[in-house]
Order: sequence, then structure tokens, then C-alpha cells
Amino acid sequence: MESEIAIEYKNVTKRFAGNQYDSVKNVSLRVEAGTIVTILGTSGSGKTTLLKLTNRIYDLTSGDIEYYGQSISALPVNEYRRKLGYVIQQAGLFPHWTVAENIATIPQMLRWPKDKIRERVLELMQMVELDPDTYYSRYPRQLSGGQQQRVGIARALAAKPSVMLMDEPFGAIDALTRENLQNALIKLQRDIHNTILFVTHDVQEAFKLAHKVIVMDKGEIQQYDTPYNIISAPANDFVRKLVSTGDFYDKFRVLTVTNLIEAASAEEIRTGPRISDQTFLNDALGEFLRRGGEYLIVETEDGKIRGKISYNKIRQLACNGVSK
Amino acid sequence: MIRYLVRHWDDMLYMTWQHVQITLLAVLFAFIIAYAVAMLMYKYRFLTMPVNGICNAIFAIPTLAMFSILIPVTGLGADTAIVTLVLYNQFILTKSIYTAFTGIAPSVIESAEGMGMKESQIYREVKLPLALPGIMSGIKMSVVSTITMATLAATIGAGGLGVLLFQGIATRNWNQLLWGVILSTLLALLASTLLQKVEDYTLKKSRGEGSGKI
Amino acid sequence: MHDVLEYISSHQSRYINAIITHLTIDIIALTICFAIAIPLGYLCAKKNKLAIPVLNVTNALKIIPSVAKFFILMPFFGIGIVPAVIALVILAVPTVLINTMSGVQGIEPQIIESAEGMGMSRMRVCWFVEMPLALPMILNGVRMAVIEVVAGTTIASYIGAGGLGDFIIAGLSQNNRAVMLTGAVTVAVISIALDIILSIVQQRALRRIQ
Repeated sequence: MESEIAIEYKNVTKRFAGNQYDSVKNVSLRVEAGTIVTILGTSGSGKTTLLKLTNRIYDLTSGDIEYYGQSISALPVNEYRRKLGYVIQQAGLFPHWTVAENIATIPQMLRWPKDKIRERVLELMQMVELDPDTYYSRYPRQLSGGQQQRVGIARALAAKPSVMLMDEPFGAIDALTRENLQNALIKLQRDIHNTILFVTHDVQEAFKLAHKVIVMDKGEIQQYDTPYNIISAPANDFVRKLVSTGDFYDKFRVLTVTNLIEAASAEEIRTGPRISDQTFLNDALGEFLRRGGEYLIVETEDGKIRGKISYNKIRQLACNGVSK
Repeated sequence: MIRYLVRHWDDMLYMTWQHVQITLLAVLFAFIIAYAVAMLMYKYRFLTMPVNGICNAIFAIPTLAMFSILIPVTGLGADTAIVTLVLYNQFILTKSIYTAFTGIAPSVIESAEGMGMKESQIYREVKLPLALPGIMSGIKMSVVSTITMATLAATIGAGGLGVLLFQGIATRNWNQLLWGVILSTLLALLASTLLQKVEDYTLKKSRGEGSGKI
Repeated sequence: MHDVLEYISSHQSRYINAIITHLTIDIIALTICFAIAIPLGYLCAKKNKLAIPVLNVTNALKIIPSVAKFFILMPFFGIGIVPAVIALVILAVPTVLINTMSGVQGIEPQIIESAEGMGMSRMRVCWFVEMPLALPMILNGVRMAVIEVVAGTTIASYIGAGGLGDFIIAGLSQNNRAVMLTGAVTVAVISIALDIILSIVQQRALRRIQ
């Protein structure tokens, strides 16, 4: 586990001109490199503001943000932004450029040699599962929303940024496609090990994707922890209400089996029934009820074993989480 | 009719040329000014209301009246006509150019900024190509209406195809009058068709219906 | 400037007559224009088959320079108010028609659907729903038409219709600035005033439907 700090927020505060309140209030936290951190909150909670402070679309009122130990105001703003990847909800693809040209935006700006650009574009298209033969010279208007967003992600990754900022990128996409994109993102991050800051208002999405979740309300951090810790030990009433309606089963809807994974023995791996690591605990519970048995083997989409999940652990979580 | 053409074709050609000259000069100057004004409006949104109000007021003034007001200052002839036309075209052009730029989807500009493109780069490679169809539309409207308004230029001695019209009326020479109508209409039609094609082309390009570069 | 005022005071009756003539022509032409263009525009918005030929004709008419439109009628209708009014109507109808059509077409279909679903008759839907909603666009066309007509009437002086254009023409040929400016400034003021009034009306209509 890397413990390098990719982004550190130090007493970050933002107040927009004309407002009587802070949109972001005194936020201090550290984002570890190689993790997906989701920023969860309702509209007005400050989550998008926090993200936009990170790539300097908004200026800090007070405090500082550090990128790998260096203050983000140290570099000229355009140079700094080119180190980050940025994906927004409407993708914002340039309609008059092809898919390939869009993806190549930053490498072209950095004046990479032509063949290196082409190679990188092809590589990225594979990564986001867009067939290059079909889509290389297509235009954004010929793509569906989900495909456009894949291009947006590829474009953000083109110059190999260590940190990627995503602002409700799947908000405008239908539920089925969204699930595909979420899974693709998780796989992507696991392969290239970058850091992702992902803003969303969808509790399930936030918990499914994240190594850690930042829960925000009214500009302040309510809790910053792993999904499991947030569920089992919510910091205050707001967080508690956010992740449950008091029914323990509801909590299972937002946690995936990855939160309760334990190591599995070779014997267990050989004989145990399999479930996907994207499965939420409520569905996993359903599996246990159907098949009986004590454990299930958790595997990734491509069949790699990640460990096992035991019935007892789920029971434990249910019992612990019942009391208010 | 044909006899008239045969006898006066060189005059008519000259007048057409005059007309074209006046139109092109007027549109050119008007465009440069309107573009600058539109850019200012784009940057400082509060200017939109007063500028629109002024352009509107100018546009409301009948052409002949405008000529009359300007003659004491710029005298008779093509100069006054061109100045008038430049002023009138502000209305159409500033609005078209301004709308062309503000019509670009904000998410496209936001993602460009977020990726670290420089202002000048964004302007050159994103904003301008996407605003081009709207700008061309404005130019088209401007040229066609200028051709129309320029026919009045004949009344203040600027020449152009209007001469055929006004002289024809004065001398009851229906052949001359008819040729004036035909030629001025043809010119407007030609300009409109050509510029429409250009506008369609830029529209295709901006929406991504052409061929890629890489 | 005060040569102008001098001229006006010494030719008061001619001046006032010219204004009245000018405005009369405008009102007649505009009334006829609205009577034709607005219903026609409405119908075209509803029935595409009607729209296509009508639009073709109006587009063709629009291309003809306005001066030409006036003068072409002379051989047939002579000089005076009649050809002037006809020319003005031809001048203004395309604008009003296109704007009316655009205004009616721009209404969200759901609104009309719900009105009809509530049992409103065609006439009621048209009068109480479609017209008010299309009004801002219609007024836009009206505004432009008014300016075109007032300006056109000054040109009509060249075919003997009377009005403020007379002063301008006279001033031009006699090289008399005061006469010229009398006509010019008056018609400019009238035109701008009408434009401002109509834009306020347009704003009000816009606000009412929002």
C-alpha cells in the first residue's frame, strides 16, 4: 500500500463574492496516492467546489492545496492543469474534432511526436473499451452518451496524469451504462494505479467505487473514511441518515463484498461458489440464503481471485449496525 | 429590353461593379468594428444592453434619413453611403457574432479550461471554429441587406445599381427600371446563395461532419 | 439646427400634413399587412403543405431590394398612395409572416396537447393559448415591419406618395440642409420612438408568459 500523499488539503476555505457563507469551510485531509476517493454530498454541499478548487478553476479564499507536496499555486495554472485529468458530466468533447483528436488534446498541446500520440490514443481506446477500428475517426455527435464519456475519460488520461478529477461524470447516463462505466473505471484504476477524486451525489456509486469516501454537507467534511467504517461507525446523524434508513439491510445496498474480504485457502478457492467483486452485500446475502454454505469466493470480472467473504461476517455487520 | 442591354451594357457593368464595391467595403468595415464590439460584449456582459439599444436605435432610422443626417458631415457620394451602411450593419453583425460565441456549449469550454489550454489556444482551436457558422450567418444576412440598402445610395450620388432604378423612374424609362430590378435582385440572390453554401460548409465542419486530421 | 425649426414654423401646415400623410400610409399598409400575414403565418405553422409554397414565395420576395419593389409597381399602378401601400404591404408581409410562423411553431407541443385534452375547441386553443405564447415573436416581426414600413414610406416619396420623404428629396435636390433635415430628423424620431414603444410592449408580453 502506498502511503504517498497525492493531494493534501490544508484548512481550505472558499467563499464566493456576495455570499454570507462559506461554500467550503476549513477542509483538511489527505488523499493517498493510488486510491479512488469519492466526494459525496447533496447539491450545495460544496463537493463540486472542492473539486474545482483542486484544479484551480476556483481560487482559494484561504488555506492551501498541495499536489505531491508542492503547493498548487506554485506553477502557472495551465501547466498545473495539464498534470491532472479532468472529466465533467457532459463530457465537454469538442464537437468539431474526431474521437482521436479529442483524446489527443493534451499530448498535442505538449507537442508529443505524431507516432507517439497515435500509439497512446490507440492504447487509451483499448483501456476504455472503445474499438479503435470503429471509433477512431468518428465524431462526438455519432456516439452515445456512455461512449462520449468513455472518450472523456480517455482524453483525461492521455498525458498519464497521476491524479484524475471527475465531476459527476456518469450523472447524465442511463443506469445500465452507468454500471458498465463504473466497473470499467474500477478496473482501469486497478491497472494503472492513479489517484481519482470522484464527485457524486449517488450514495451507492460513492460507496461502490471508493477506497475512501469524503462525506460533505454545508461545505464541511462530515466524515472521511472507508465505506465500511462509515457504515459501521457513522460520525454523526447526517452521515447516519445518509447511509441508512435505520434498516440494516439498507446498509448492505451500499457496500460491496470487497469491504469484508478475507484471505481464502486453496481448498476454499477450489470448491467454493463464486461471486463477482462488484456484488453488493444485499445481493451476497441473497446468495447465502439461496445456496446455504459459509463462504463465497470473490473474483474480479476477468476471473482473478481476490479472496472470500463469509456469512458470519455479514451477520456480524448486521448485528453491529442495528442499534442507533 | 435587349436593345437597352446592348446599348448600355458597359454602364450597367460599371454600376454593378460600383454596387459590389460599396457593399464589400461597407461589410468589411462593419465586420471589423462589429467583431471588436461583439468581443467586448462577450467579455463584459453588462455592455450587452446599452450596445443593443444603440444599434437598435440606429437601425430604426430610415436609410434616407440617415443619409440626410450624415451629408453635412461626410458630403455626397460613396463615403456617406458606406458610413451609413457600416452603421446599419452593426445591428445585425454584433448580434450574430455575439450569439455565435455565447451559443457554444459551456461544457466544451469548461473542459478545455480544465485541461489547461491557454486562453488564446481555446479561442483559436475551440471557440472560433464552433462560432464560425453563426458568424457566417450574420455575414450572409449583412451582405444581402447591404446590397438592398445600397440601391438607395444612388440618391446621394454614390452610383451603383440604384441609378438604374431612380433614373428609370424619373425618366419613365421602363427598360432601364426593369434592368435595375433584375440586376439588383440577381446580385442579392447570387450573394445569398454563395454565402449560404459557405455557412452550410462551416456548420458541417463545426458539428463534425467532415473528415478528421490525425 | 434652428434653421430646421425656422423652416418648420414657416411651413407648419405642410409639415403637419406630411406627418399625417406619412403616418396614414403606414397605418393602412401595416393593417393590411397584419391582416394578411398573421393569419397566414399561423396557418403555415400548422400546415406544412401550405408552408412550403408560401415560404418559397416570401423568400423570393425578400430577396428583391425594397427600392425595386416600389418602383416595379409604377408602370402598372402609376404614382401615388396606392402603389406605395401595395409595395409596403409586399415589403412587410414576409417579416411578419416568418416571425408569426416561428412564434407559433416554437410553442411546446405538450402545452397544446394538454389544452386540447382539456376539451378546448380549436378556436379557443388558438386565441387563448397559442396567440399569447407566440406573441413575443409576433411582436418581434411587428416591430421590424413597423420600422421597414416607416422607412419604406420615405422612399415612397419618389413615386409621389407624399409624406416626410418629400422634404428629404426636396432638400437633396435644392441642396438645402434645413429642408432635408426637417424630413430626416422627424422621421428618425418617429421611427425610434415607435421602436422603443414596441420593444417595451414586447418585453411586457415576454414577461407575462414566463
